[in-house]
Amino acid sequence: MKKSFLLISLLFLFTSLHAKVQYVEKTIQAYSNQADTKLSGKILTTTPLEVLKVEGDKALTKITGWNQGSLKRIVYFSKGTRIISAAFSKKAQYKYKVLETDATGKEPWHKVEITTWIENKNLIDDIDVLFVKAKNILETNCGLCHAAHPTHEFSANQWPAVIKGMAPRTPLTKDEILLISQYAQKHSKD
Amino acid sequence: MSKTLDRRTFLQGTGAIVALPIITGCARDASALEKMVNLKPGSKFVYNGTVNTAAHWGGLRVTVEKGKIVKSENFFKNHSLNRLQTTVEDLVYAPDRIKYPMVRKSYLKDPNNSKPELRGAEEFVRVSWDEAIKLAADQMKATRKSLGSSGIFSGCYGWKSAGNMHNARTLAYRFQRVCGGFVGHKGDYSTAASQVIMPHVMGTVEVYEQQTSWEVVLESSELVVIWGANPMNTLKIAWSATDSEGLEYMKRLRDSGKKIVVIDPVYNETCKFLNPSDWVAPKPNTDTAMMIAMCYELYVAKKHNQDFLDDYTEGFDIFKNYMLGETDGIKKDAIWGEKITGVSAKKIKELALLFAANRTMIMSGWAMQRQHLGEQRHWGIVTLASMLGQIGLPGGGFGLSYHYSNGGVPSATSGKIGGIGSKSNWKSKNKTTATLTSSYTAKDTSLVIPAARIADCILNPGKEIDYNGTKIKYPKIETIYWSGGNPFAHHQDTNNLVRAWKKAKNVIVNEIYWTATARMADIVFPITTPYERNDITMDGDYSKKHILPMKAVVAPQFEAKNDYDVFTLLAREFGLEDYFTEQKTEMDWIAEFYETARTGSKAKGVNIPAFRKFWKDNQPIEFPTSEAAKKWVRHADFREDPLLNPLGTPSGKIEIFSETVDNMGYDDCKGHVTWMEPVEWLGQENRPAPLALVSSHSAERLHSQQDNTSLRHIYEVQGREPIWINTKDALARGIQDGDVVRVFNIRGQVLAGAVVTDDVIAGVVRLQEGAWFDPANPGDETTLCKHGNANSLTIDIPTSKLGSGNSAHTALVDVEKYTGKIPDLSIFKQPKMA
Repeated sequence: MKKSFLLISLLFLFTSLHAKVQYVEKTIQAYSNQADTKLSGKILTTTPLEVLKVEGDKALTKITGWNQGSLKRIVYFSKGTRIISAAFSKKAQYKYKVLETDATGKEPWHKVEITTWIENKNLIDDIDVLFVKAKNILETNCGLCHAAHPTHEFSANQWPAVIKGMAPRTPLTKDEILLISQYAQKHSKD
Repeated sequence: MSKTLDRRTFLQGTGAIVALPIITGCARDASALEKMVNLKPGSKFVYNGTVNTAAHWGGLRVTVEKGKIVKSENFFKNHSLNRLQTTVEDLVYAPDRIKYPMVRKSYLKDPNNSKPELRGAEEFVRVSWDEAIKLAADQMKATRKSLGSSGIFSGCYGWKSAGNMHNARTLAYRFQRVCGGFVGHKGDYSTAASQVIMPHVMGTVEVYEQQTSWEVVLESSELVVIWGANPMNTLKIAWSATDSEGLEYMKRLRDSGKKIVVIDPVYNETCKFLNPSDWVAPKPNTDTAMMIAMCYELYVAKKHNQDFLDDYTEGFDIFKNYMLGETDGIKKDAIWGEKITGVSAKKIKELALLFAANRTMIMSGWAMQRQHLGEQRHWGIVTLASMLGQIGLPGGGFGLSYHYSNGGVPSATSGKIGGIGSKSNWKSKNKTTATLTSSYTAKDTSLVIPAARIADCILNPGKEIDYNGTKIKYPKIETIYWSGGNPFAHHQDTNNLVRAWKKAKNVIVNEIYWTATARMADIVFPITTPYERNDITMDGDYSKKHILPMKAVVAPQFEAKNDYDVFTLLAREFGLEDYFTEQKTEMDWIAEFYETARTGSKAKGVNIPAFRKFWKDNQPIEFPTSEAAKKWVRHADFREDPLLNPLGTPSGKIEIFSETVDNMGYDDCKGHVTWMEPVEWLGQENRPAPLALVSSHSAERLHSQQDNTSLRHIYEVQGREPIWINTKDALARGIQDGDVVRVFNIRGQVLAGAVVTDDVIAGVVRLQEGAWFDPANPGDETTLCKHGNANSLTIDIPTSKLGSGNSAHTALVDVEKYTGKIPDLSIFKQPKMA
């Protein structure tokens, strides 16, 4: 995962010189409109995004990612693996643009650009700060009962299920579980 | 510690002073002195009374009289007898306790020319702690200098004592990481094959995950199948501490009147307890064929759930073509199954239809996947369960952890305690983000090998092996450091392990008792039992129902030290003490771990007292269990919406065919469940020996733990581990119940005590793992084990290139009446001292 992650990071660097890429520190709520109070979805920790404008306590942001098949509500971080960047409710409204489609696999994958309102908080500039924190949490909590598995021992798709199965034994909070899942997925064997 | 002394303990301490002269009066009685009663004035230990602590075998109440342990029992009164809980006295005052730091004679003379071939045979010399620590540290420094961290194996596999502070394995990893890294292990001995194949098939490991609640099983399952498991034995223990609830649910299952089918070559303790409606006994190592034949019969009878296969699985058609014989010309029907398994075609068909006609929960243990080609077993169960189509329904599907650590006991609403980690946080405290980032991207120096490849690794440095689509190159191991485990009990082909150990330059072991592992070491550090140190744990790996205080009952015996203190002293030699301890004491850590749980509990709306009160009260903290937890169904979310809740497989579905595994191109693990002949089994041509050996988990031990207690007198036959042998096989060999027999094959030979019974099918013998290896000629690789160590007979090959698990349950042996002079046991006594 690391290679594609670097590629995408580079892509962001070149295509978005006008707007700065930031990263979600802790799960952020999304809204259909600037004035809404009812959330329309969630943007997960470590997801890169660009803030287009800020109004009140909300920000309009652009997220680039991938859809699998007809499942538009879930935006994945990269093609072919289910690292969730954002998930929206059925009634959520957001701007949606298909940038490209890869139909070579069993199901097509669409590269999409989504523009949505989010609460304007929990964004940071340096992704490594989050990854350092995640690595530390993972090594501290996943080595209590057994030798901790290096992140390259499971695939990006396997990691969330593996962590979900084991986490109830640990003192990890929900936010920490999400963070280490994303970290493990983005440093997995594939 | 003294700050937390309560009034009662203080008074008992005073009592100790009063009693002192009387005890000193018996000073000439060496054995009484050796037992080191709690008689120090102002002692922090209870002199007369009870202390609550815990072990893998549950929450314990230990009674102390005049400073000496006299009794131990389950803390929780409402549970059935678990004899493992009664042995604290035996465990603390065992005659085979290691009393002092010990060094092998030639090694002490010159560690660089130490005659490693004498390991296990040579006498030990008592040394001071200072001398032992310096010697061990110097030798490890030398290895680090010449070979780097890849020269030190400190994978320390084993069932270390319970407790989140004195976690002997993790403490070893922590020490070695602080010093720069080490060679560790991946996977384990319990479930190595399944924990690698299941993520490809089910998207996660399955074997260590919460099961559909027992409450749901009791309410909704109509048929419970126990396939290759013996929960009545294995539920006496848990990885943390058992909550004892699993056994209570077994009682409720027995009394529920449900149909129960047990599939096992042995009519085991669970059969005897449950009295199942049916006992089906396939030949060992043939279960995969039985599963595939059942799939075939379901399919031709059109009793399979095609909708489930369409919506929730991937690649059924590829498996179907194999099953129907379209790929290899062999129809895998019940008649085919009968030829391989010995179970009649009629029974195979009947079972397939019975499973389909009921809400069926298939509970499987792990022994089957500790066989050559073990990856196929649970893949077979998943394939069968997928065709039944009940996965994710209440009381249906399959479960791979009901027999282990109380899987299926509903999870309580509890905060979780912390524990000592392998990673020290000392370094990171005063560092800036920038330096942290560079350390995060730095390559980890630690190497890992599959746990059960240890002997192969030491014997073949530089060899490259396959593992789950990757290649692993064995490092050259010069130093072995083991704490919290007993490889000379749990590793296969013990004689081969003796051979491997002789290749190492330094072997350092932390041990409580003179186990075979301690005897095979150069430097032995004497370690406290859990009853001589303070610790903390939770019970029920899955339920996490209580936090249990583990309060020291008696003072450390002889010169025993805690693993934590041994590694602290070693770290000091490396100038890294603060990195290891983070300047925290035993009680600092325990308080911290407890407070983590208190914070977590609070977030869940449960308030528990502060640490000081918890520790002073010395009582378990109990947590509530929600209705939702009692009604929890495994994979229900996946069944409800497989798109939104996909499994962790590439397709997000159950992979009956795995393209990922298929692409690895392994000849011993293909793209779907496949019947292949194991290396040794009853159906093979020119088989090397006539009887199949089953070496499952004993009722009165935790693997090898507790074999040195009085419990062994309950089951041993003429002081030997019992071997169950079928009446016909015994008759053919002139063996009578109670005879001492020799069990042997090309790999080894052991003495055992015959139990002639029809509870094991003809052609199969059961010699349970964990009897301590007691070589007649220590260090000789063809020696007779006088006591009955099953692993002297098992084979040390990987399950396959995929999982590289152990193949303990794939072994053929022969048995004969032993006519020689029956030798005395040596293993439960002190070894030869110089």
